Amino acid sequence: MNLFIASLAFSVVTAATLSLAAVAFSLQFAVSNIFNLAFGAALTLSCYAAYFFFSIVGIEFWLAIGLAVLFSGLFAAGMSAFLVGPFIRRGASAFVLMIVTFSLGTIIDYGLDGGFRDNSFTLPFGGSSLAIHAGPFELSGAQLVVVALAVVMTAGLAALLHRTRLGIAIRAIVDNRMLAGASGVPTRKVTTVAWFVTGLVTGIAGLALAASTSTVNGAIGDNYLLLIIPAAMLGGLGSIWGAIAGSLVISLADNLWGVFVGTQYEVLIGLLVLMVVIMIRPGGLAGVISRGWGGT
Amino acid sequence: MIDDLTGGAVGDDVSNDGLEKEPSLVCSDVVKAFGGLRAVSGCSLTVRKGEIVGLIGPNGAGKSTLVDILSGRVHADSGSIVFEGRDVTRWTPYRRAAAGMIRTFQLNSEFPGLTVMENIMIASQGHPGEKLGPVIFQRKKWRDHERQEFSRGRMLLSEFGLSEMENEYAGNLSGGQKRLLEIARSVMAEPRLLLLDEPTVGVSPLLRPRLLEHVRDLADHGVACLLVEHALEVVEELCDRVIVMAAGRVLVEGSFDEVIADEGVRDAYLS
Amino acid sequence: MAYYISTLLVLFVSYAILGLGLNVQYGLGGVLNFGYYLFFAIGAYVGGITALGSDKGRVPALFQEIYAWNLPVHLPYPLTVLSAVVVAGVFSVGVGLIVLRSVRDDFGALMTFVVFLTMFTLIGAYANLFNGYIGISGVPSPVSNPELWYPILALGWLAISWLLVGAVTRSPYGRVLKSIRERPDAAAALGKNVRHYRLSVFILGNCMAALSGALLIGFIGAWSPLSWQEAETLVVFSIVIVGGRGNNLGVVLGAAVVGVGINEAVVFLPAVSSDPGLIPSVQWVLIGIITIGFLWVRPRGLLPERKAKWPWIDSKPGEVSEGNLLRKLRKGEARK
Repeated sequence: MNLFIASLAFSVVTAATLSLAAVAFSLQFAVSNIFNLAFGAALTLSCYAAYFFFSIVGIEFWLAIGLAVLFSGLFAAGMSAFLVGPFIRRGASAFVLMIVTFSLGTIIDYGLDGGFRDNSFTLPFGGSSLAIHAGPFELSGAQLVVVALAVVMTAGLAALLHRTRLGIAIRAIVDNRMLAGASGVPTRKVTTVAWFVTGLVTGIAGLALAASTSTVNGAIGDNYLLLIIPAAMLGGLGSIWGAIAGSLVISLADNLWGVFVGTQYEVLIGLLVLMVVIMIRPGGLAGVISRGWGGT
Repeated sequence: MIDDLTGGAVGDDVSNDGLEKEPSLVCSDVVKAFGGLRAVSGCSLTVRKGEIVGLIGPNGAGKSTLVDILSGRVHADSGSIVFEGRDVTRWTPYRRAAAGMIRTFQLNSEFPGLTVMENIMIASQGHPGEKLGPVIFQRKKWRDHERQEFSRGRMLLSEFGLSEMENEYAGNLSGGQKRLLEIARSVMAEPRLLLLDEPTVGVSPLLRPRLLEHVRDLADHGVACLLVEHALEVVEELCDRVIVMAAGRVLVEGSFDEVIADEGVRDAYLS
Repeated sequence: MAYYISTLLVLFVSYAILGLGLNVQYGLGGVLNFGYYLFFAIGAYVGGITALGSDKGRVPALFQEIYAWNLPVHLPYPLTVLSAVVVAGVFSVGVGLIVLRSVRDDFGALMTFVVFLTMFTLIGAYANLFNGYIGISGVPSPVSNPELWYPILALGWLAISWLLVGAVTRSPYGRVLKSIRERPDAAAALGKNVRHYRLSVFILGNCMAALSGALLIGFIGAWSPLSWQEAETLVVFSIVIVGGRGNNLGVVLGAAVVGVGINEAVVFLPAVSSDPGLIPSVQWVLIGIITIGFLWVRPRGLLPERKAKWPWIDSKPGEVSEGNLLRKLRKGEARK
């Protein structure tokens, strides 16, 4: 029983990182109606960016982290403005856009692989003195910071979407892009800004991921997709609270499996969850999307 | 399957009198809500063999939703749909189509990357060449069938004035030609019930009589037609009976003159 | 040198069959499958293991147990390839039934991506099945002088695949696939069982991938997860997109240009001694850029899809008498 409570607590921690990533993935889908298969690569990219600014350029650590997050935001904005946007305006199908983002992911992955001599590295987040032990789990100070960060980010995102003009514009686009455009929302600009915001969240998620693992390698982001996609789908794409709830479920399932079944085949969880989702509601997820972003 | 379609009531028995009263489609108490909005609320109607029924009503009356429900694209929340004595309420769209319920779409629905001839040939029903086994192992069998269907397709194209375009991509046709192609495709599918969703939209006034003539011809051969239409002059000219829908239900039903004279109909259109 | 040319030929055939399979699946049927390379890998594993025989050191533990029951795991040549195709086909049915349930097509495509990532990790972690990350090696060649005969054998398989795919493409079955690719709703409204067709083409394509995999391992002799990372799927997409979606000849051309050409072109780049991983990376980045570039500049590929023709029907348009033909059509007279 103790073990169960411990894994519950630990799940909240792992869900914090996961929910950041799932929220970003979900928002990108909601705004542009595409699945971004370069998302895993974008997570990896933010880790490499931090490594670049810190270890190669030699900037102070937390400043380097900040720059990496900013870079991640700019990258996402650029991806929307110069790659996804033009293809969408040309009327490319959802499939073509998936292939495009898949190609971009490959370019990033192997660009990093070829561009950096080190194939794995560590980002010294420190904070191990703050470590808390709970059963078989160990929480480092950095991970606690991540939880706090996730709460702040989520609250900030929710406030942005519900309290600001920008947020209202974004939600209008999610609801109906054409209608939003016709009623005076500058859709292109707002879409780019929305992607910038998701990029910031992606960057933080990637670095939080790096903080929770000892070494970073080129596969870190793509492996994480196995949890992100089911979490976002389970929550019903397009809803912040859905993505968070989905992340909690996935994290809990992941940790319970690890404790009670063993870490072998843990990888199956994401697929199993997706299979259940698709079996129960093969078309129902779209209904959640149409209700719009914000999940009231 | 093919025998079922050609040997059925449509092909053999072309005299109108005996068929008039036999119902083809009976839809009763159909309800469909999207979220909180009731698009169709308790709609009942009957279309008989050889009859052209016009379905009119103001925008948002639920006409297109009803066609979607009848064709199986949208599932009704409650109510039943009976086609030629069989309850098809739970059937998938393809199964209904294969049974002879053929619909056209309000928006263009040609296959743009296929040629006009291919578009026509797609509608062929029960084609052995559409199964993987015969494609690989029984070439002669499917080619014989294809040859017959091909000449049938040629005739249809010539009937609809599309012969010249036979080898053109359907996406390159004009709006009106696409409509004609769609009707021709429906005829190719040997329908027993035709659901036409605004077939004259975008068709030039020159081509329009030709299109309507074809619909009339089909009905004369026992095909039941349900026609959703905004142009009242088309309804007046073509339809044997008119059903007026408003706010998701049937308001009035009768001949064109009766319906037009009805006070409730005027109110519905004006409100 | 002769060995080098043989390798290139086998590689070309392997990519060409892969491309043809994906062309049926994606080019004709419009089914997007990011797990395509998984079936290639399964084909390679099954084809390899059935050819290995009862070699204790090499055959994965699970298959050694099957030997213990005296079940035929060691097969003679064409059966190794066929068993690979059958296993991949059966697995495709399972995956397809789940993935193609999705109402939104892109959900299904996303799921194939997840299936790939999961199976990749699983096959690496579960060593009993396919020896995990070590993989299998020492697969014997089915012919005595592989340098000469294997490419010829491979070309034979390519010819069979070509005929099969050609028959499918030009058939009414292929026509239905194209209509489903363009407008699934309208195809269903004409009585076509969309999910059934998608499943069949999903299986057909994956079986061809498995054939290609079994063919490749018969020559290179070894197979491990390092050989089938997720980016490999991109190469096949690139082959189809560059060559011409829906055009089989174009796809074979694409296999030569992208599959073999780019792979070999980078070999001639100057090696960087300090970073041996650089050259392969350049190759992947290049393939990614080419794919996106083609989708933007020439989305229909080098050889675009061809219009359907009926050369075996000898009549000309307008060879139809006027009159009320509809009546004849109705009565079925036109059928005679």
